[in-house]
Amino acid sequence: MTQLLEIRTKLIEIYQKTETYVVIAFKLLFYFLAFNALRKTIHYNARLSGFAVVLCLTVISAFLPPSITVAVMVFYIALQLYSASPLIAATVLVIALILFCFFLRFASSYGNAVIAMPLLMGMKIPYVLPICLGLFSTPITVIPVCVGVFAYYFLKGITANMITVEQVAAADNPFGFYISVLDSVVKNEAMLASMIVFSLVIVAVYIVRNIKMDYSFEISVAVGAGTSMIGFIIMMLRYDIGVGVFSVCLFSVISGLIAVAVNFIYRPLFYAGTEQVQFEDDYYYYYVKAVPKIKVAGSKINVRHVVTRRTSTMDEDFGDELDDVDSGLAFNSDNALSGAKGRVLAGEPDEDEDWDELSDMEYKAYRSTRASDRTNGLKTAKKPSSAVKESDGPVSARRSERRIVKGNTGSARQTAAERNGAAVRKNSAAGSDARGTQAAEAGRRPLGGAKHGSAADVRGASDKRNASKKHASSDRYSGGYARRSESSEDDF
Amino acid sequence: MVNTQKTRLMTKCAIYEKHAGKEDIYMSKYFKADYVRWNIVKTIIYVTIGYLALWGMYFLYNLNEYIEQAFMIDYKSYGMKMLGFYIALLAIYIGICWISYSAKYRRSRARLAKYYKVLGKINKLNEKDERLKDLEDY
Repeated sequence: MTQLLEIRTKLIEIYQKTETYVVIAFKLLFYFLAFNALRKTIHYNARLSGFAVVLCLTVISAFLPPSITVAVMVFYIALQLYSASPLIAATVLVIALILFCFFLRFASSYGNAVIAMPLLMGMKIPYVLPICLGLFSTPITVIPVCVGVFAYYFLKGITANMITVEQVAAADNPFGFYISVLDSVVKNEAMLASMIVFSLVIVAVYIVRNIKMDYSFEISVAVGAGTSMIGFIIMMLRYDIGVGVFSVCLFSVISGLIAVAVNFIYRPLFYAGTEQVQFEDDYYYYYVKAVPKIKVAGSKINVRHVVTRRTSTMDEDFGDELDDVDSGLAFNSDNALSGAKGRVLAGEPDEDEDWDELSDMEYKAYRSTRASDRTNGLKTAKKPSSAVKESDGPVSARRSERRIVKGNTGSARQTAAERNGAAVRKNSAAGSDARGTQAAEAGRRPLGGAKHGSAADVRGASDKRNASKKHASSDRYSGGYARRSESSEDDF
Repeated sequence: MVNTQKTRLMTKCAIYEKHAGKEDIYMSKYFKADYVRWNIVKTIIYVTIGYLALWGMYFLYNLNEYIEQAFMIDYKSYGMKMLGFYIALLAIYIGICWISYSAKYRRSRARLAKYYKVLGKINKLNEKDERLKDLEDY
């Protein structure tokens, strides 16, 4: 389960990073499948049935609102049919107008459901859509689903009656096709039965998922799958709907599983941790049931090498790296230069970023001097130099506290280093001149304490919010990481 | 320096404005009764268009029958029947619209109240920032 949750978290992270492109890619794929299915079903006009036209329409539709895309599809169908029979093309437009006036204008935002329904019915797996709509939406989605079912049977009726353009052109009575196409819809009891079953599925799933009980979402999916299974089996006994009992059962179960998977990604709930509380105010007595959502951060380990002041040689640094590799820690390739960088930065402190190197007392003293100078019209006091910092006791102590390993913790707030046996670089000399370094496995060592000097800081993702303002300046210097010892204290 | 609290509130507001806020702000221009009435008028127009289109299709569908029985049809009763259907359909739609648009307006007002509350908070934070800025300048 934890692994699944981690995969979910990773998927969400990936989606969040690439949301714009993923959404467009899905839209392109979806509309391409829809237009391609239309092209294969109704191909009375050779030009409009070309692959390039379909591709153009797909790209245009991907950037249009769903309701407009539905209109584009209607016009595409009408233009295709115009080559065969202008009367049928006009009929399509009039039917679309009627559907819009009576139904679709109340559910104009569900245009994608209208497109998806005939597409899925063509693939013989329409059961998943009503379940998902019942699970995540409202019963108003009955309208687009029924319109989608109507569109499927209407197109089926057209293709069944108007086989070729030549056949239509050769016919004496153009009204004959009009009547037979409408008959295929008006007298189609299977269509009505499908609409009823899908509507029942949506309403049943919606009602069950709103019942105040544990696992209501999962139960509602099972109810939806069961309803569609029973409904279509009953339909099969009466009408020829072109599918067998086995396929109905199989695809209903698969649809249910897909809906459960979607629900798991959308809202994983931890029913074991349900809280039921009662309280009152002046107007009401409240019975509250709160089900926590499961949130697991992905096991992401980043080790950030922080500048340290060292006198060690390059060879020693490379030795440290080898230790890191042995202990399974990913390391930065320019780690070997960290000692040199440290010396440079420490020797030439940046105007804005070296305040973390100062003790609080020093900082306050500097601020007060600067303020008094300002009021007296004097030049700003000079910032204490790094040489002063080095010899200062509190600075050393503060530096020695900094133990930096960045990681992303699991639900139990276990550090990434503890879980993965990552190594923490530590400075053996605490605020003194000795600056030998060595690597050690963080999971086997105590992480707090001021005894050790540091090169890395361990921090969980949840600790971000706990990083205190007090250490904001030191965060800047150390690459934006808070000290673990403090942040873990703020956790509940 | 970026005020995180203010940023968070402003983001909330921006998300609301992008989605439901658009319609809610538009709806706030109307009183409830006016809004419901205006939508009922629109519904009447749509239902009329839809009904005429439907009747046209039905007429074409039964064209042969009408031609054959052109002199036997009681046009008055036929017209009354069509009108009766139209009025019944209109009554159903008006009822549904009245209920649904009233509920929609109520929900919108509740959302808008929350939105204004957040705007008030942002305003307070702005004032606080300005005061601090003045103090620093002083």
